[in-house]
This record gives sequence, C-alpha cells and structure tokens, in this order.
Amino acid sequence: MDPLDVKVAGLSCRQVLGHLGDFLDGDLPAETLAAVQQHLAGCQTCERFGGRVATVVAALRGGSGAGGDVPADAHTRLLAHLAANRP
Amino acid sequence: MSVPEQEVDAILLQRTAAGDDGAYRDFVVRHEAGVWQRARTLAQDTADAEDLLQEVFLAAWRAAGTYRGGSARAWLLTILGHAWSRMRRPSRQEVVEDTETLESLALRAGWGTVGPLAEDEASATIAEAFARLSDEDRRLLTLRDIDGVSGEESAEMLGLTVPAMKSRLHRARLRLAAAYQEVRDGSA
Ligand SMILES: [Zn+2]
Repeated sequence: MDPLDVKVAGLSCRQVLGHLGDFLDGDLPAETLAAVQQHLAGCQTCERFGGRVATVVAALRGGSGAGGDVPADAHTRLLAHLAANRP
Repeated sequence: MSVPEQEVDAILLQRTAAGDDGAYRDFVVRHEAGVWQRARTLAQDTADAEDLLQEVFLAAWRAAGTYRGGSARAWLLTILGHAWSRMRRPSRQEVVEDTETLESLALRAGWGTVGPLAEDEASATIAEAFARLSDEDRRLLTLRDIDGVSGEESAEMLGLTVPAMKSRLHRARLRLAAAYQEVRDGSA
C-alpha cells in the first residue's frame, strides 16, 4: 500500500496533503480542520511535513523578497515622465 | 515626526489636487520604493516594472483629489494591480498548466523523510531556494506570503479564480519546500 494512502483518524495522508494549503491559510471549515488536526496528532509524517512547509513559508515571509530602492536612473525618468505628462 | 504617516499622505495629496507639484514630488519619494518592489514582483523585467511605476504615479496624480484617507501605500498598490492587469491581459492565455501531481511535489519536498526544521535554519538558504522557482511561483508567493495581499486581490491581479489561485499557491509552496530541500542537499 502506498504510504500516502494510510489512514489516520479517518483521513489519508494524501487527503491531508490536499488540505495543507487551506490549513496553512486558516481557510479550512471547522469540521475539516478538526479532522486534519486529529490526523496530524496521530501521523508524525504529516505533522513533520506540514511543519516543514510552514517553516519554509515563514522564513520566506521573514526575508525581504524582491525589490530594494528604485534605481537612480529609473527615479529620474519617473520624475521626467510625470513632469511631461502633468495632469 | 509627530504627524501620523497617513495624515502626511493625505495633506500631500490634498496639496497635489490643489496644484502643488512639489507636494506630489514629496509623495512620490515617500512611496516609490514600495511601488517599485511590487512592480518588480509582478513584471517580467525591469523595463516593464519601470512602465508600471510611471503609469501608477501618473494615475495616482490624476486621482489625487479622489483619495479618501487610509493607507496611501495600499491605494497605490491597488492602482498598480489594475495597471498590471491591463498590461498583461493579451498574454493571459499563455499560463502554463501545472502537471506535476501534489504527491510527487510532496515527495520532492521531503514528505516521509524530513525531520523538524528551525526557522532560523530555513532563513539561511531560503533566498536561494526562492530564486530557483519560476516567475509565476515567485509572483504568487510574493503577493500572498511576503506582502500578505489577500487571496481575492491576488487572484484578481493574476486573472485567476480564488480556488485556482489557492491551488497554485499550494503547489508553489511545495515547490519552494522542494527547492529548499535541493539547496540543502547540495543538488543542482
Ligand atoms: Zn499522514
């Protein structure tokens, strides 16, 4: 049997994997949330995997992401564009 | 500064609407980095990002008299979202279908093999993992997980239904976890 099809607390790991996105966003309906939480309490594999994905996403949130300041020449062109098209 | 930031923006935009160009220049300087960051996230390249930057601040100038308080940054980013939707509409059909199954993504991300992970441990290599993702994945992760844009707003900007956006976000996060795993394992 595929390990993803093992059922814990009525849900297979595959089903929990499908719910993981909404779980992390707090978007699961109460009943499903309770079922997923019960599964996680009894399935170390999903509990660890969910924790891993949550931690990686949280680390991304903590980083600065794309960006930085507007390059000086782009700033100059922006002001020129605005001046030329003044409403 | 004792005046709250939002009041400063409101005053600058009021003066702008009354014809004070210097006030608008101050407003631009206060917010251009925030608009630029979002534009860089959404646009394919720097040139497109610069077009967006110019379009947003011109549109905001025209609309200065309609600003009704609240976060000026959020107001600008809403204008940017609309501008970007217009800019990319012709290519919207090009979205590549995502064929890898959730199961195979999860296995690449270490399902069944990975142990616990501390957040500071993840922070060290997250940028490298993020850089390995597609533009599409990075865009969605930036909107939702870095900038905290709502699901509805993100979906609208990307021309997706909310369920489709959620499904993509879930996959993008799994691909990020998989890329993280690859970076850690030292594989290319
Ligand atoms: Zn499980």
